[in-house]
Amino acid sequence: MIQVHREDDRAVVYPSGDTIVAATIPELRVKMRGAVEDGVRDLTIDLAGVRMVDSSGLGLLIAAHNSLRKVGGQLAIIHASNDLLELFRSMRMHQHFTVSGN
Amino acid sequence: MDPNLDDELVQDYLAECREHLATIEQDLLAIEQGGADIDEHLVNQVFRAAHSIKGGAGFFDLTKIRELAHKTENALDLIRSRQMIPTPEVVSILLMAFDKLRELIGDYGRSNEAEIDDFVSALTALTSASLPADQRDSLDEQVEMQLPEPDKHIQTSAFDLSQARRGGKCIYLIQYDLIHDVQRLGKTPLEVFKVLIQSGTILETVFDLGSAGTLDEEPSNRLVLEVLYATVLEPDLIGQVVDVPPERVRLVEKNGESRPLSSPPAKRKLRARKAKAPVDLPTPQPAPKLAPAPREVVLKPSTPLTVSAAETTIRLNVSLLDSLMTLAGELVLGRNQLNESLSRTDERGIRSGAQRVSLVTSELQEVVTQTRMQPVGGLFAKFSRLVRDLARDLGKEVFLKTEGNEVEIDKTILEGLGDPLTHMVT
Repeated sequence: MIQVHREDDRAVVYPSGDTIVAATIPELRVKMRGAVEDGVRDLTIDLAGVRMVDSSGLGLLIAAHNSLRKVGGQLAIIHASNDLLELFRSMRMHQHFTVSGN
Repeated sequence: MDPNLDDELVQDYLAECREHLATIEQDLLAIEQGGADIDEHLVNQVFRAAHSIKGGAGFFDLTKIRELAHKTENALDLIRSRQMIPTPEVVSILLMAFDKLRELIGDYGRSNEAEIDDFVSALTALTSASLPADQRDSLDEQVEMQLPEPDKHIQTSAFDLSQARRGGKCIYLIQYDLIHDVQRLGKTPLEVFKVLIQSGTILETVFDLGSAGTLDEEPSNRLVLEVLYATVLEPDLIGQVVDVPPERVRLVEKNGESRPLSSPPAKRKLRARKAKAPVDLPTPQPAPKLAPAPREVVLKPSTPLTVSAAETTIRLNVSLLDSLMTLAGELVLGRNQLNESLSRTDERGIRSGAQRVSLVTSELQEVVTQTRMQPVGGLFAKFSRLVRDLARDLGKEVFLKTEGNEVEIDKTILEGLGDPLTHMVT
C-alpha cells in the first residue's frame, strides 16, 4: 500500500514494496498526480525501503519533477540507498531536484 | 558482504595488492630522496602498482579502493611527466594515501563504506596545485559539445577530457534510450552504469528531462540519456560494454568532431564555450622550479605507525618446500617399516625403523625451523619510513644506516622485536 502523508502543500510519499518498476508504477503515478492536482507543491518521495528503480521508475520520478515545475513546486528524494544515490548522481539528477541518502 | 568477494580471484588480487604496497613505501622514499631528478624506472614502478590496484578494484567493484588508487595514479602521472616535483609534502600525502589503501584492502569487505574524502581532496589539491597557472584554469574550464538533437549540448571539464586523451582513451558520446536500450533488454539503469564504470570513466551525462513527460501524460516510452564516456576500448570493442545501436554511439575525435560509429564522418563541432578554452591541454611543460605547496592539506595518518602487524602469509623458498615434501615421504616410509617390524616382532627391524624415524624427525624439525626464518631486512625496511616521518615532524635531519639486512631470524622473534626496536628508534 502506498502511503501519502499530507500537510498543507507538502506531502511525503512512501512507495510500497522494495522496487519502483513497471508493475508498481501506475498506482504511484495516480497518487502523485492526485497530490499535485490537490495543491501539493512540495513533494517528497521516501525511498527508505526501495532497493531498485528501473528505467520507467526513473521516468516517473522525472515526470513528477516536470509536473511540479510546471506549477512552481519542487520534488525531493530522501533516504535513497547508496547504490541509488550513486545512480542519481551519475545521471546528474541532483542538479534538478534534491536527492539525499540514508 | 558481497558474495563475489569471497572467491579465489579476490584473494589473488588482495595478495597482489599487498605485494605492491609492500614495495611502494620504499620506492616512494627513494623517489623523495631523488627530488626533482626523478628515477623514471622507479616512478613508473609505483605508477604501475597503483594502476593495477585500481584495475583490480574496478573489476571487483571495490569503488573506494578504485577511486583512491586512481587519485594516487594521477599524482604519480604528474611526477612521471615532470609536471610535479616529489617534494617531502607530496610524498607525505602519497604515503598516507597508500597507508589508507592498505587499510582499505585489509578490510576490503567494508571498504566501500569507508571515508576517503580527505585523501581524495588532498590528492586533488596536489594535482591542481602543481599544474602551471594556465593549466590550472583548465580544471574549472568547461567545453561544450553539440548533441545529436539540435540545440542540445553536453558540458564537461576540459581537464578531464584531456587527461583521458593523454591516457590513450577513446571518448564516446552515447545516446541511451533507457526504455528501449535498458528496460526492454531486461536490465536496470544501475546495472548498465556499473558495467560502464568498470571499463572506463563517465565524464558527464545529460538527461533529456522533457522526454519523460509529466504525470498527466501517458507514461513515456522513450527516456533519453546522453553519456560522455572515456574508455580504453576501441570502436570495434565498445559494443562489448555498450548495448546501444552503433548509430547512437559517437566517437569524439581529437579535433572535437564526433561521428556515429556506423556512418561516415559527419560535421559535429566541439566548440569551446570560452574563447580560450583549449580542447587539448597544452603539451606538458617542464616542472616549475619549485612546486607550490598544496593548499590546506591536513591529513591524519590512517593507521598508527607500528611494525608489529602480524602477517598471515609468508613467502617460502621452493627448495625448502621440496625438502619438506621429501622428508614427509621418508617419514611415511619409516612408519611403514616400523609397523611391519612390529607386526613381525622383529627386534632388529624395529630398532632400525626407530632410528630412521628419529633421523627424519630431527631433519624435519630443522627444515621447519628454517621456514620460519625471515631476513631481518623486512623489519628494518619499516624504519626508513618511521625515521623519515619523525625527522619531518621534529624538523631535524636524520641519517639512518642499517646493516646486516640479510641476517635471518625466526618469525616470532622478528615480530617480537618490532615494537621494542620502534620504541628505541623513536
